[in-house]
Amino acid sequence: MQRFERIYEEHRDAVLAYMRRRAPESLVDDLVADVFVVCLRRIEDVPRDPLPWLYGVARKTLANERRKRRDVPLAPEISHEAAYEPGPAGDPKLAVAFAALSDADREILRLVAWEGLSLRAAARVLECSPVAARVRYHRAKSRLGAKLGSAASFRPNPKGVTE
Amino acid sequence: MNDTIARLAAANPVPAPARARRHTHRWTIAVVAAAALVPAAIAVADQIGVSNQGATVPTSQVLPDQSKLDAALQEMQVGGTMQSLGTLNGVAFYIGRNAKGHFCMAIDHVSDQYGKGVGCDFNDDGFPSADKRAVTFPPARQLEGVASDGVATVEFEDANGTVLDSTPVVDNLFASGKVLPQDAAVYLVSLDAAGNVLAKQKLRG
Repeated sequence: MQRFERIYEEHRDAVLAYMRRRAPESLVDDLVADVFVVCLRRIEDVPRDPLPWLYGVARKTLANERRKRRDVPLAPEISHEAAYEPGPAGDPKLAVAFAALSDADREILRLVAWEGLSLRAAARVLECSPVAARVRYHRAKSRLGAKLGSAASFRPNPKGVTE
Repeated sequence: MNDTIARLAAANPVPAPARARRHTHRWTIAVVAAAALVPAAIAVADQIGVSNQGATVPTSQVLPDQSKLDAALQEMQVGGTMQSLGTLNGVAFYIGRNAKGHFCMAIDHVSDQYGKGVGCDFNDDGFPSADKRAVTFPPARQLEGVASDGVATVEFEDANGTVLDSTPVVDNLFASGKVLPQDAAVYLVSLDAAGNVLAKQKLRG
């Protein structure tokens, strides 16, 4: 129990931030609680560096919640909220480019850029090899760069005529 | 870090929290949708207590058909019985102590499929005490919990001291229907019947 208390105290804020970057605010508290229920139940399995493991549980918890809401018809206002996923803040062009990526691309980029994980730690979250994580990361980064680059390079014809 | 990633990092919608921030309240929580857990304590001090001792009920009957929460109660080593303190504004309250003497509480929004939660307070200076006259279920978005004798009203205040919500205490229980935004409430304030502040507890470190 002491170990759980320590893990909770040290990492609760990080898990909360993880969820707030990916889920509607109304779901965040419950999802974070679900993560720590799993941690409590599986305390013997939690590694010495628990944060990537906690993020992995958080990822699956969020995926389960999304699946549940997809399978159950919801009122329009609730389904709208359930689909909402926070994106890059204060950079509209980046937000558009980021939203156009696949779920997998967004997740590896978030883990590195927003959670600040190394690729080795991100691999643990995603339950893949470090090599696979490195490949995914570089491809996702290239795709994001390409989308940003194509947005930046678009210039309307100076005379306003479309060819 | 290349430019694209640096740009993405700068646009983080939730900037990274400070690591290992000490929490004012340490709670283990297990919730089923929109329920916060707050530490509760049965009468402890000679002059500051909780008169409502409720009725003894088996722990297995506290949140029936909630296997996840039942499992959490077992894992937190809450004993075989809890005290049912009653229902206020549609919220049923149960309190007890776990094997290590930590205060534990369960709440049940009885008419709601969700809104149920359990948790234990791992703080050394548990409620009730002169400085801690009330406990509200974490993460402190809604005034729901237990207050010691003499507390007539509890309030949430923000960092500026603005009252965000206020609710009366009935038989040591309080339950407001108002849900605040995450992290809006910074203080839990306990007042007596004359409106004097008995305690002002900081909710987060």
